[in-house]
Amino acid sequence: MRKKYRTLFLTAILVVTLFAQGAAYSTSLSLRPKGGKGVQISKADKVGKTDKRVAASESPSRGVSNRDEYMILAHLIYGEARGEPYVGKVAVGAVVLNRVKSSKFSNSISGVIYQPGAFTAVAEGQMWMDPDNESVRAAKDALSGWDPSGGAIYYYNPAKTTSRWIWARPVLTVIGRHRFAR
Amino acid sequence: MKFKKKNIITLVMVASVICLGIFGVYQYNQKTFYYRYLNGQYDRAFYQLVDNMENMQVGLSKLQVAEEEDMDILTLTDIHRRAFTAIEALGQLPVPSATVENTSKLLNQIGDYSYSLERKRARGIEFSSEDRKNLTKLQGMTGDISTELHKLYGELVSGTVKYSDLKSRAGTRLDYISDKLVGRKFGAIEKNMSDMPTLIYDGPFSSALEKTRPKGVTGSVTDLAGAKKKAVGFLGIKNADSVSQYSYVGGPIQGLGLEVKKGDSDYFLNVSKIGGHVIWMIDNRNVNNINISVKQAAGYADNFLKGNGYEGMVPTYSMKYDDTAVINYAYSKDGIIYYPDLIKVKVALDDGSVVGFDAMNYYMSHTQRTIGKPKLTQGQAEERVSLNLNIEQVRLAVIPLTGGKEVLTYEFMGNYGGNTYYVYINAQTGNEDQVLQIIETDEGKLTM
Repeated sequence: MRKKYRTLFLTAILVVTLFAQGAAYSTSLSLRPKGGKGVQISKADKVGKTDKRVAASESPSRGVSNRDEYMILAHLIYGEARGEPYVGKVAVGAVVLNRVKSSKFSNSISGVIYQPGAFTAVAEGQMWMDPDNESVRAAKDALSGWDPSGGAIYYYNPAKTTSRWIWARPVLTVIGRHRFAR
Repeated sequence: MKFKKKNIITLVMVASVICLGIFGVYQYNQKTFYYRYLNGQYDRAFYQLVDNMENMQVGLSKLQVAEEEDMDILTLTDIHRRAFTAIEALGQLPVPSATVENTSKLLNQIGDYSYSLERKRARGIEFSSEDRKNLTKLQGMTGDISTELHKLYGELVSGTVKYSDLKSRAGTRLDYISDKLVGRKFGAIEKNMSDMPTLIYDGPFSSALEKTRPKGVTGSVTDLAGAKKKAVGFLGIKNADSVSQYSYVGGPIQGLGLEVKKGDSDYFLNVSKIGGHVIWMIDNRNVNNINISVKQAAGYADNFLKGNGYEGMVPTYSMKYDDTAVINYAYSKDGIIYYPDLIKVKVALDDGSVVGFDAMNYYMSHTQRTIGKPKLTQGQAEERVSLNLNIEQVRLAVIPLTGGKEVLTYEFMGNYGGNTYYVYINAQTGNEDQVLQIIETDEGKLTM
C-alpha cells in the first residue's frame, strides 16, 4: 500500500517537473534552439553582434550599405547548410537570390527567406544562430553573382525529405548532401 | 501515525493536480493568444492580396476606355504598385510556394508589364493591338481570381477554412494539405489560370527570358577526361593532389562539376559540355592576410585572363571584401565596351592567387554582334544629359536591358554633389536608358 502511494507521488512530481520545463521553454519565447547541435563556434569566428558595432562606427557617410542584405543571407546559409562544403553554402545563398529573381516568388531577400514554411532553418530556429565567417563569405560570394546551384530555385536533402513533389523536380546538380532542383 | 502520513500524501497529490490544472489553463490561454495574433497577421496579408487584386482589375478595365497619355500613365503606375504589394502579401501567407506559383507569376508579370507599358506611354507611344488584347485578357483573369479570393476570404473570416495547422506544420508543406486549409483552396483557383497569355515585353519577368540559351558556348563536345585536363590547365596547376567529378550540371549551361585539390586549395569548377569552357570556379581556401594591394591584385587577374586566352577584357570596377579583391571585366572591341559580357575574377590578397572566377554572364551573352552605327553624335547625346552632371568621361557602351535586350548607348561618367554617376543615353533613340550611382563603401565601390 505504502509503496504504491510513493510510486504515485513520484510520478506526479515527475509529471509536474516535466510540464514546468516544457512551459518555461515555450513561454520564454526563445527562438534559438538550445545548444548548437555539436557545432562549436570559436570567439574569433563569430561575426554577429560585435562585428556589427564596429561596422556601424566606420560606416560610410552616404548611408547606403548592402550589409543588411548579406547578413540576413549569411544567417540563413549558416542555419540551412552548416555542415556543407563551402560551395554548397554559396549554392544555398544563390537559391535565395534565384527565387528573388524568379516570378514565382517574392521580390525581396527578406520576403523569400521569411515566406512561411519556405526554409526549415526559419521554422526550427537555427536561422537565429550567429553565422560563422565561412557563411558570411558564402553570402558575399552569392551576392557577387556566383551561382554553383545551376540556377536552382529548390534544394533538398534526399535523406530527410519525404515530399514526393520535390523528388519529381528536375535535379540540376548535387553538392554535398543537397540536391539542387528547378 | 499511519493515518496522518496517508493524509499528507493525499494533500500533496491534490495540490499537484491543481497546479497542473492552473498550468494547463495558463498555457492554453497563451496558445490562444498567439494563435489569434498570428491569424490576425495572416488575415491582414490575405486582405491586402484581395484588395490589391480587385483594384488591379479596376485599373486594367479603366485602361481600355482611357485615351489620354497622362491618365494611362497614372493608372499603369497604380497597377504596377498594387501588383508588387500583392506579391509581398502573397509571400506572407502560409501556403506552399508551389501551389501559388501561377498567382505569383501573374502578379509579377502584370506589375512588370504595366511598368514597361508605362515607359512606352511616357515616350508617347500608343498601345499596340497586342497590348490591348493582353490587357483585356489580364483584366478578365484578375476579375475571376478576385471573385474567388473574395469568396475564400469570407470562408476564412467565418472559420470554415483555416490558414494552417501549426501542430503538423501543415499548410506550409505540400504533402500535408487537407481540404479545410487555404493551400488546397488556392490550388483549385490556380487550376483556372492555365491559359495565361504569353507576355513578351522589356522586363525581368518577361516570358521571353524563360527560354534564354547560352550564346557564347561553342565548340566540340568534351568528355570527363577532357574536362579534367581543361580544369587543371585553367588553374595552372602542376601535380594536383586529386581531380574528381563531384556532380553533373544541368543548369543554364550544361556541364560537369569538378573538384581539384592541391595543398590548401580545394577548387570547385564547372566545365561546359560543349567547348569545355570553365564557367565558374570557387576555391574553398580561407584567406587571412593582406600582403598586396588591390591594384597589384588587378595585375594578377589580368595575367590570369590573358593566360587563359581571354582577349579584349577591360577592368570596369572592383570590390574588396574578406581579404580578397573581386575585379569585374567587360569585353571591349573597336572602342565599344560590352557590359553584358561580364567576367569576375577574385584574387586573394595574401599571395595574389586567383580564388574565384565567374564567366556565366560572358558565356550567356558573348557572341559576334552586329552593332549599327549610332544615329546620335556624342554632342547630341550630351545635350540629353542633365546639366547638373560634371561630365568627366564619355564612351560607347552596349548595356543589357532588364528584358534581355542589348542597346548601344553613350556612357557619361561624371559627378554631382561629390557622388559619381554613370548616365546611359541610347545612341539610336536618345532615351535615357539607365542611371547608376557609384557608392563608395568599406568594401569597395557599389553601383546602385
